[in-house]
Amino acid sequence: MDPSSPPETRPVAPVPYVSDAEFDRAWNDPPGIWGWLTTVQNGPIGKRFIVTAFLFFILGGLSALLMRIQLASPENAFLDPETYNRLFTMHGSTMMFLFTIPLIEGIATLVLPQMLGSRELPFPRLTAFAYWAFLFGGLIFYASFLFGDVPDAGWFAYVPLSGSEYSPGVGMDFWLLGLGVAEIGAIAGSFEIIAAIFKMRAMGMSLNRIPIFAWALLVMAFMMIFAFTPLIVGSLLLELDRKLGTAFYDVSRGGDPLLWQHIFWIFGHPDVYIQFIPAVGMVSTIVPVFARRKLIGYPFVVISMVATGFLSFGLWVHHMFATGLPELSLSFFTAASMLIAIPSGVQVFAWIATIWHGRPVWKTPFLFVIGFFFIFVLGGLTGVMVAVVPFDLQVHDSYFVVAHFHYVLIGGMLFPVFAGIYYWGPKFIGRMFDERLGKLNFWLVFIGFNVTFFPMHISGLLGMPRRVYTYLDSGLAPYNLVSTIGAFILATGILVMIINYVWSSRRGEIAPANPWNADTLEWATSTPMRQMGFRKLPIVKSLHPIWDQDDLHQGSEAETRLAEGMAHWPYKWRSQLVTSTLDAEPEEIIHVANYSIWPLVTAAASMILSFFLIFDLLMPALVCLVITVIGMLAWHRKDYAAVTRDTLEDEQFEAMHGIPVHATGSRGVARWGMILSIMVYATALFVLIFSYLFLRLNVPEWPPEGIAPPPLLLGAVSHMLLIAGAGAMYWAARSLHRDQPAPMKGAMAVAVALGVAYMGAIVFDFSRMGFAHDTNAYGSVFFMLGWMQLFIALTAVLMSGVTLYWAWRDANPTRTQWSVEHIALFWYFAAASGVLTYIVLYILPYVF
Amino acid sequence: MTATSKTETAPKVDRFALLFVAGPAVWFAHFVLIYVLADFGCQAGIAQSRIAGQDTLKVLIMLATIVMALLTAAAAFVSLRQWRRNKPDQPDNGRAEKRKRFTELISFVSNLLFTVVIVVTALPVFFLSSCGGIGV
Repeated sequence: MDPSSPPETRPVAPVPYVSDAEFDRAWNDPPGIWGWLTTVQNGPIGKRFIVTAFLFFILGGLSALLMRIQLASPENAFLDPETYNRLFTMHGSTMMFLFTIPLIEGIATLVLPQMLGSRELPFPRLTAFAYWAFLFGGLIFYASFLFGDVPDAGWFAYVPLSGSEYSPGVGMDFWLLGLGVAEIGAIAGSFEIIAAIFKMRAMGMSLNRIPIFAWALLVMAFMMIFAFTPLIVGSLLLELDRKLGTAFYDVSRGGDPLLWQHIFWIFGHPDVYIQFIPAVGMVSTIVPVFARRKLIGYPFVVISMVATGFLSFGLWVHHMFATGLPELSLSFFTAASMLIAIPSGVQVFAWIATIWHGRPVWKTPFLFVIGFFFIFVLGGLTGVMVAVVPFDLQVHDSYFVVAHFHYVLIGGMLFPVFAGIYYWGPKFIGRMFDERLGKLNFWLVFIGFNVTFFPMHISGLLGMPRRVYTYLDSGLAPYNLVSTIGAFILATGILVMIINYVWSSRRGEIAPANPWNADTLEWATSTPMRQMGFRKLPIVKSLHPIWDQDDLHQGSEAETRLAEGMAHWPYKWRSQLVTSTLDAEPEEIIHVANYSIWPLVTAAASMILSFFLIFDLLMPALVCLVITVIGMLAWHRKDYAAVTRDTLEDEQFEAMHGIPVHATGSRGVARWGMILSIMVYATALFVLIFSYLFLRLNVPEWPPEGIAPPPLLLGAVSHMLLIAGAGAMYWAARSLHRDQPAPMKGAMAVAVALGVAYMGAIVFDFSRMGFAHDTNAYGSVFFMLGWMQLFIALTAVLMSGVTLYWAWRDANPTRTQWSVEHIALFWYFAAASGVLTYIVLYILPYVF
Repeated sequence: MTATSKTETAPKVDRFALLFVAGPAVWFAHFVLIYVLADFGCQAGIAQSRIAGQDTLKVLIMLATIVMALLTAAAAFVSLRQWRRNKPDQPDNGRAEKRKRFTELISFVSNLLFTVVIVVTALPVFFLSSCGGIGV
């Protein structure tokens, strides 16, 4: 078929007609327990995320109730101080790490693909891994109860309290490693979200037509990469201090506890907005549907979310106002903390204007949104108050702050999420929630919340300190008693929600496809939804496609034919259309991964690895590390068996529609995967460079007395080898594009050899430095940064080595091994990071 | 080729598509720079030296602020100019044109907002001493 022939004369697909049953076959998972363990599809994984996060929410809530019982009366002996410390640590950590973020990721996993008019997330096996890592990380964390050593240093784990001197048992190790595994899962989830929004939108869904919730998730996902990575690095440094005797936070050896506070809050403050932004995305989605009016100021709401995301990274020191930093520095953070009210205010006014001009329908989701307005605005106002340094110093570590952040987090996140559960729930459980129970749920939660937390403003101003297990009867008792009563009303509201879910999912009214008359594409799918959502892909011509379009499959001639064609082919494997980032034009058809056991194996091995590390069992830990690496390689192995090897069909389809079929791997999506991986590595590297400079500026002499600056020559030569390796990978990518398999494979072999030589030379150079990682803070940060660079090089070598092996086995590697061009990108990054590391580690001690 | 497909044809390169992140990115660079200057300028003794009778540290912060604010203001101006050049929605405007107007508008708003944010963030240099503070 001639691709230049007019579209209307071409047949739509190589196969004339495929039945629904045939089409569904590729998307169906195996039956039974094996299918349950191996599924990677967004539907089941998203539901698991939500249910598991909710179970952790109940655990976190129970610990809060126990604390409230203890505080109901002065000098109460219901809990001893040690148990109280453990409970507030578990409560905060559970809510922040195991409930809010996983719950939002769950909703995103469940809703996003179909909201974008797509069939699946871009890296389904990574989605499955993200879930298992979150589950296993949470289990490690809670396993501390079984070993009788529960973390008790607070959810912020300040050093030196969390160091080995004051927390000598294994409790903090459970905290650090358990939550570390869960955070890796969270970052994996963010990759999915970003790549899906950039590359897997419906045809025609240009940037100005992306649903507002997807914009919110996009901002959230980028924030997670830049916020969670520092926390993982900071936690690793703390664990190394505890286990290997490094001195990052040890003042006596040149370290600094404030370094932990900086790293923690560089994560911690954006984390609040990581929860808040997707929640307001839900509000901006739900308000127009229930106000029966399009959102007013869509572009301004979008840029407000982007601006909020950025500004949230300039607020971290407002958690450190009492640490003795210069007042001018503090005032910059005060200014930024107040300025973030501007984009938040823009959104509030957009919602008010939309409701004002609409005809609101007062269903349960909308009630939760109105509750959110009331509570979040109050929390925002007290936020501006604590942004003022003198006021903050008065209320620091008091219950006023407890009241403030619960107003922000429960008001800003929980209410919108509950609204979201009531809104999207019917699509995924197939039945409507009971309205009467829903309204009872809302009023109990709303009243219970305010009764619990409003009095804390007053008890805080009266001087009630946080994190203290009891208090004297000095006028604080009535406020605390009211708070305790409120907590139980709030808990009753949550119980009603659970009852509503259980009752409605069995007896509720059958849900129609679009019960709220909503505007976004997920409502265009059937209820209950088929695994792939859309067999015939939608074409978008509006921000509100369901409201504005009579036919969701009618676009330009070529796009209409492509949607029709993809409804019949490919049908033997899970196919997905990739579109361009800005204007959502068709770019390629790819194969999204099949079910696999390897994500589960990899996550389980990581969990067991953490257990062995906690108990210093190094050899078994090494075995688990090997299994983890094997699991990752196995899950990335190309799934040839599932893909049609009849390339004639591929070529026929390509000729008909003028779009490439990449059945063995994507170019566009994988490119984004690699860019995001580089962002994670780069962020980790910058955190370590920041740590190096921070520790350097603490002392007058660097390196400390008795240590010579590192010799320059071997380091310089080694890094030349790495740069040459990057050059070889450039050649490999060039050969790939020129369809020259032999030079491509040769260049990759050279790159691998140079990478191995680089690592060998650096290890030799490090071995003759004359100091070690546990000598002092200089030694610690020197080796940590050096090891990080070695890890980057190792990643580059491993990726190119494995791809070289696959290329060697493949008959036509220049058609199937597109990853070569992405791995080349990583090599360029490795070379650049190598140069930066060399400058910091080798040259800086001579000049600064 | 039909009229519909003609209107849906998009240009491949849009040099201004990502200009809306310029404002936030410049603000972040400015923020880190002035924080580092304020925090370590005192330790390094920069605040004790003078330029034209003024505290050197404050002069450096003000200079950084002016340069960065000019950058974001220029980005706002470019975005506004592009937005005004492209005619408002016409029936024959395609997908890419509508998207461009959107990115130009959010780019203008973003860069204008962050110009204000950069200036306001640095305002305390007029009211506070360079190295005073609790515990300092």
